[in-house]
Amino acid sequence: MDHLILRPQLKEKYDNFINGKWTPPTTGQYFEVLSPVDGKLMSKAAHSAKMDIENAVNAAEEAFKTWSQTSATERSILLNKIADRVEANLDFIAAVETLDNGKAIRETMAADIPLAIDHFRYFASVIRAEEGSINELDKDTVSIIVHEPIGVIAQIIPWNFPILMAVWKLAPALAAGNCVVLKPAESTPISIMVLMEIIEDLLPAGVVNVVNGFGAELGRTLVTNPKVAKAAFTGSTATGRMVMQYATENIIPVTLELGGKSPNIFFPSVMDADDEFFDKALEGVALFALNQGEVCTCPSRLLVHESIYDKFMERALARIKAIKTGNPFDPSVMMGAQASQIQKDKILSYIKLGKEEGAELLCGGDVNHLGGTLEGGYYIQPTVFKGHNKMRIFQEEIFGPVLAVTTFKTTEEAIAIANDTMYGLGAGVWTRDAHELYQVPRAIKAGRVWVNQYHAYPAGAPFGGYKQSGIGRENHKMMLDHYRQTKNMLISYNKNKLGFF
Amino acid sequence: MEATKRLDATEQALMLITELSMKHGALMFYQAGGCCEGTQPQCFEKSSFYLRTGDVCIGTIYEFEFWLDKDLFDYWKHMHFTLDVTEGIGAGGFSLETPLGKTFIIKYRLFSELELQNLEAVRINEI
Repeated sequence: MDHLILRPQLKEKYDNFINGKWTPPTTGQYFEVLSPVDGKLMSKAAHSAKMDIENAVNAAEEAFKTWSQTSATERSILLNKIADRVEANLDFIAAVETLDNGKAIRETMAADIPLAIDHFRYFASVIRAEEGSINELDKDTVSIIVHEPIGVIAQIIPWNFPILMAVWKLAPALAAGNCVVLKPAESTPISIMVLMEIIEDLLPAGVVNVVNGFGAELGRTLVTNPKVAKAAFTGSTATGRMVMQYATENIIPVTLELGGKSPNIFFPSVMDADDEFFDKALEGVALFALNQGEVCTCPSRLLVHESIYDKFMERALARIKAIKTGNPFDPSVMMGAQASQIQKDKILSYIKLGKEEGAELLCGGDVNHLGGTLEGGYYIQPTVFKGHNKMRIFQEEIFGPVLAVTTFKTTEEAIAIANDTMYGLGAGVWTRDAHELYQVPRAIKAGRVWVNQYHAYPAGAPFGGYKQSGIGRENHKMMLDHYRQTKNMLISYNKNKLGFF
Repeated sequence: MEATKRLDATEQALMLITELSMKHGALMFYQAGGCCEGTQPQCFEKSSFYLRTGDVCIGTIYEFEFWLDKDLFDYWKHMHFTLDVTEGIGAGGFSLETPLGKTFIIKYRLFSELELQNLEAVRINEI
């Protein structure tokens, strides 16, 4: 057995980080945070109230006065320093993230934290090369476009990638010259605080403020605060609409990332040879289990051409059955714990539903009992159902390691099934056919179509949704425009009057 | 014969609703989809959530309406909903019960053929 990564030592409780200081919540109250790894108490987080949000927003507004005046060079240097500091502490941060969220240490070490580091570096780079523009509209009239930071940003973070999703929002906001008030998810409130401890000395006071607590008590007061100039949210459709609704109060822009039910389509040519590419394709099926399926782009609908279905699924199921589950701190474990008991229960209720709806269970389908100290953790077996696209398990985002498989006869049918969803975040297309690999992705109504790969999130490739999956494109320099204003100076070099008055 | 109800609530859910309504006044429930807390019933203050045109009310608990996103109703219309509550947090979202360390959940049951023929009418949110 591989040796286990040491479980990190945490503080008994974590205060809010406001104006560069660790600040107890005004309520004096903390809520218990359980680790999904074993279901036991790992720490406590601030149970904040309206006043804490106000203090954080005020600190951010004050800091904005100077931070907004910094040069792109200064901000770039700072983002690079943050990246270096996180990299120097990668092992520890990854272990905390595993403890907080339950995901396998292999993923936090190789994906979550390295991607977060690179994200800071990407935005540190692009702002150095960014320019405004100038346009001579006629010989005497010049339009100058200058980008200006927008102000104080409210960011509400989900629990599936607590650090990475925070960084996706933090890096562009800071790069653009804004200050941030960030609210982590209540089920994973600790790892971001640990990250802040590690980078706090690098940040000017008030530029980043983190307040823990419950969306029910803090969401509205944060987004409707008159000093907040923009809101960013990742989570469910209903809550996203709520954030958008709050944003109407002061007419502030929002960016939203709201989930999906992503199709992963395998065309017959995939099986033309039993080679490296076919091996990669089988891994592409098993990727539904990445992050225990708790990914907005989880390839949770598998569409396989009927001519290859039997042979393909035999190999795919063998690959899925080989997914190693177990202690998330074991570096050889591929799939860890679901993020909460609530989430585990929800997934199990969908598994029960799949059975009741008449879907055929191909593997898994139950709690994964790991015994010992892990028995109290939230583990589920990788599960595969065969059914049809009108079943609930095909239409609702389960957010767990549950794959729903169906077949198609024609390319048109594959596209129709792929698009028969209210979401449009991600999709996968696997083929050796040069025409299919361009035409099918173009026909799918989703913001990100992975072609002959899945679940890659490199900085530099815009990520975001069509349809009800949201607004905005993270991971790309175009996100900067969601975090700033456009100032247009329209200058006349003509000495003569208009002649109107 | 009395029409079959689409929605019921457990004793624990009723107690929690009473507690929440004492604090927040009239309430509403809304269920949609999406990641994290998607497909968890969300409890909000009455009228605080802007319903979509075509959203569907499947019943009330006390006098509080329970609404479903119109896009998902098609998949949920063959199911009976029992609103229940469970200890713990983790779904996320802005649902009012979470600060109490509790989470509303739905337990589903497929209607029988007989029940399907005699279901309570739903109400559509129309302009």
